[in-house]
Amino acid sequence: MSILTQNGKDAGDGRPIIDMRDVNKYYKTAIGDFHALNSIDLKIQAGEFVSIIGKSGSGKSTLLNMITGIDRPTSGEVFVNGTAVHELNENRMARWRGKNLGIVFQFFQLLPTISVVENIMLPMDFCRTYPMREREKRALELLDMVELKEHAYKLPTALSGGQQQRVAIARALANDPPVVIADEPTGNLDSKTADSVFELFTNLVAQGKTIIIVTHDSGLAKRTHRTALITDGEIVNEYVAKAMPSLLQEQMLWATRNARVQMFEAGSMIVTEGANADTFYIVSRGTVEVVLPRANQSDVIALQLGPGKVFGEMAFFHGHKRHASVRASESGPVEVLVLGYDKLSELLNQSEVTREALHQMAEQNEAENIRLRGTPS
Amino acid sequence: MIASRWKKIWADLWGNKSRTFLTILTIMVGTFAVGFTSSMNQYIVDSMEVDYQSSSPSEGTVSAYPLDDDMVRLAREVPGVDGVEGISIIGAQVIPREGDPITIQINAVKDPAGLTVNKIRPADGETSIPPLGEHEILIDSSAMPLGYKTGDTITIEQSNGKRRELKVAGYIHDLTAPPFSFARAMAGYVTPNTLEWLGGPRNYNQLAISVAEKQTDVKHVTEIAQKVADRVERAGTTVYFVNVYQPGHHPAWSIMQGAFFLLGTLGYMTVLLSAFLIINTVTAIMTQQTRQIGIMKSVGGGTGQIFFMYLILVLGFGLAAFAIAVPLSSYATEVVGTGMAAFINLAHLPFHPYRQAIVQQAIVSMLVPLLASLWPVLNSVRITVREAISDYGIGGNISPKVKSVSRAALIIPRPMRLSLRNVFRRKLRLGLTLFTLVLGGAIFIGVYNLRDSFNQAIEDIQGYILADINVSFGRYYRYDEVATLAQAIPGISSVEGWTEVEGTLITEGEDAGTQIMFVAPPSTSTLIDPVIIAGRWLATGDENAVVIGNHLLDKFPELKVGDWLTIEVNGKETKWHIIGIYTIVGNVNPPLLYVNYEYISRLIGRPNQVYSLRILTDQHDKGFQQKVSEQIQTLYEEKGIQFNSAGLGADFVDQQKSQTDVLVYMMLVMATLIAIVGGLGLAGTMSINVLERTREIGVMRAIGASNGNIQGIVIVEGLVVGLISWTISILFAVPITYILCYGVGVALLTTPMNAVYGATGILSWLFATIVISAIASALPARRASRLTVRDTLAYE
Repeated sequence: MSILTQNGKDAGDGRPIIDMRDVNKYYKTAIGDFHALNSIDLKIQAGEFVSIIGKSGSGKSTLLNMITGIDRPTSGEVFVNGTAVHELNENRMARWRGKNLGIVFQFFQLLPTISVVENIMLPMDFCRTYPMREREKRALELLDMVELKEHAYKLPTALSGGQQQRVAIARALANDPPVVIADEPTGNLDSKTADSVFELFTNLVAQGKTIIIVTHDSGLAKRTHRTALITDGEIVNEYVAKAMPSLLQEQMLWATRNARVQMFEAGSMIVTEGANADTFYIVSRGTVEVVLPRANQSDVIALQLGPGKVFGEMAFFHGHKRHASVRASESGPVEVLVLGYDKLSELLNQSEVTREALHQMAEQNEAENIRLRGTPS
Repeated sequence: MIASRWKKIWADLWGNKSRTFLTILTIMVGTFAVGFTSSMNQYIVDSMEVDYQSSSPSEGTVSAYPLDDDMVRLAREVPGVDGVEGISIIGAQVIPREGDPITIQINAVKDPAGLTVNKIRPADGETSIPPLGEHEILIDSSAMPLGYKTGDTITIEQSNGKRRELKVAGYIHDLTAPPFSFARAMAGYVTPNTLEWLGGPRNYNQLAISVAEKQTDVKHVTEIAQKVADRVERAGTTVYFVNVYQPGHHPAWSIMQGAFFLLGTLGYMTVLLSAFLIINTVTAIMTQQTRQIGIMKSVGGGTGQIFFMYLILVLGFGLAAFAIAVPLSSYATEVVGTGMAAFINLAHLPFHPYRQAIVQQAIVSMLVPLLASLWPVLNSVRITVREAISDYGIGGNISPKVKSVSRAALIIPRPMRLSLRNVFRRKLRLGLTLFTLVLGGAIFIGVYNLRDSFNQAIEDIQGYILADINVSFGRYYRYDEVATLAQAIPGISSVEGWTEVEGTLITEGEDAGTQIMFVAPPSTSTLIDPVIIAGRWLATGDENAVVIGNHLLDKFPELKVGDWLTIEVNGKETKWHIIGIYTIVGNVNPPLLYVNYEYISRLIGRPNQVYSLRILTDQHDKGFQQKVSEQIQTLYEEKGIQFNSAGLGADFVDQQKSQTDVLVYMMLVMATLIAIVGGLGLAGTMSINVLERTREIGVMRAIGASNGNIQGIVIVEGLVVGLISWTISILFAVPITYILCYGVGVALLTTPMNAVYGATGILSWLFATIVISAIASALPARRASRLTVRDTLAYE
């Protein structure tokens, strides 16, 4: 039997295992209140491997602290594994955290005065999750999992940084929590060691754990299921980031703030060919279909666009008339982010690279359009 | 199997040995002090009571003459009497081979081993009382340090100047005799025949009475003694006086009670200080553990669980301190207690640890630290995970405020300014450290002041005996005769003739009256400088005027200036008008009443005759006094003048000091313990300060601070704290000196002492403060200077 279980309230019921709703956090400083988190909405499904990236001071750790209950939101709600974390008092929080979350710190934070195996047994002691006589056996199994069983009775200081971090991960798993939170777990490790630690996380995800890591390493972030980019205390819409990756983080955030979310029923029309155009779209949920009419024939679906894909760029560059119709796929409802051309223009004026990229995309799509229609649109 | 959190506690105890040692030492000092004073108290008091009661002590004495065995039998029949012994006592002097003569009280008993009251017992280590033959003497063992051995011959000089030699038959333990170390007087036992041979009376001159019940009730004992006095008076003897002093208790009992009360108070003061120190130390430990607390909380540790863990840690420190302090204080009590017992002439009991002391030590070592730790531990474990593990960089613990540095401050060198600023950064911690050091310092200075006050008190007493040599005659002599002889000796600058007359104060309800002693200096005397607290001193022409003292007031508190006293002198009732009240510290029995020589010498029919001569010499050192004294004695012997004694002023001072110094030294030991506690406190505080500023030190290192710079900043900080505490302790020493002088005065001298504020204590404490501060900050400073930039800035 595995020493780890898939014990999160599974996505079977569709509810996210982590659900942050309009979370704000202010810190008092000498020069006034500092808005560390600004209206954060974040949902993470059980079994997801999510990375949180952002610059230093952007609010990554504060965001993690809201999830772990290490810090409390000034306003908003945080639900983890069905528990309203923001409502727990400090003492209940500690016990709840011990059972439901495993936390891995950048600097390992192993207690220096007790042995490696005892560090792993400590959470079991506190939460009384396993019978006394089983605790050491379990700790050794966890150490075996992170390939450090032979170091079980050493003091943490006798281990290398990478080894200490593996111990910290084993400790995080001591009470078999459904969620593991890691704050820059590889930030203090060389790339090879970092890679092996990351590999451990990947394996844990494979075993059903939900993992959230904060990282500076965009290479590692790409290996997660999805990435939340945080800038100035706000989460950049991940589809904005995906659609226009060459924007600066501040520009992405600007775009996130200025985009409006619009929902469409399955099969409903979003834009119609020939109509005047003044909006640019980024798909954030579901699939849209680019439909081209063919003479005496049924419409042809020229293109299917999923989350992170854009449409409306051809009209932006070519005459502000829709060059094709776009509708929500029959498979389900669609959510799009809508950005007015004036805003898009303002944005592209600040990012020539993005303009160029979008322009190229528009040119390619136009060429494809002509090819599919046989005539210019 | 031990849960890993308890292993963590053990690892914390064992892993940081120097911190554990310091903490245990802190708790141990207080535990030791309490155990030592408490078990010392019980050991000495128990030994005293057991030893005292085993001698079937007399609670009262009746001085009368002549007394015989029939009268002793009559006295024994008085209801309420348990036992009576008739004793003959004379005073004489032992002439040693070298050095000054020593006063000796010689008691005659028929059978030393057969006494029923005031029993004498074998000396410590002996099993029986040595046989006593004619012309032999048994000496009380407290005089052993004089070096006489069994079989030695000692020379006894009687009041008439005749010398006799006695063979030392051995040592005995006589609990009723004042110990030699205190009184500088020996006590000896001879046969009645030998006493007569020495010139003493054939009959008894004193009855020692023990009562059947209520032995400690002064009123009851006095009543019974009065009945005995009446009984023997009716049988035909002359009763002089009845004496009842602290019945039922060893003569040193009340003094010891007072001394132990004060030592106990100092002991608990040490506990109070170490409690503050524990708060500081535990706060330091908790500061070091902050991050670990955060980690434990992050892995599920509840506040209660972690709180309990640290209380167990503190309990561990306490247990270790208890385990060390109990045997150590027991050992110290045994060693010091047996020494002290010998000093005050006690046959001590076999030592055993005292349950009451151990209970007190358990409370002091475990409960006090637990209580002292509650606040810092609770404060620390309530910290949130975020606060515990977040890293704000340097200066994170300073609350934000906008403040500029005064330009005037810029003249102070910058490193010094850093030290000064650091001193005031943690005000609560500074307050606790200062409190410990200030209280320690104030007690330290107070004890020095106590010593100065003792010296002042002795000087005040000396005011009553300004003479360098006091010659007491065996009978009255014409002043002209004895004064002319003395003045012929070179080195004598002036001579006064005094007289002392016994009297009995007649009061209603007391048949036998109260014994008093008139002391009569000439009205023009320059050899007395009394401390007058009411009324005035004697003036030329005063006739039946009397100046009474505090000791008579102790017996008759209602007496005041203007009252009249009836005093029987030589069988005649005389009236005296109280014109003033003087005060003198120390035990004075019988009470002394000062009157004019001119008046009383006429009253007793001996005008121009004196009983003593007060002599002032040109030089006041002891050697010179001794030389002149010997010349006087030789001259008087040649001229056939009988004298009882020739006492030196310097001897008196030495004797007084030998008593007070013992107490001062014991108190200095306690003050030193307190100073050590203060030093430990400062060392602890400086360690925490260095620990907290690890990053700052790293930054200073990174910008070029040398080892010397870093050490200097820390040591100057320690010195500044020390000097602040020193300044405040001077102020706090004032009430503490007053309390000590009051308490010690009442306990030891029966009168509150005037407090003297001397510079010795203040300067000694300044020196101690500098040394303590330097030592206490040197270790943390060294640790600070060893931190590398990499260590400090990467410190996690």
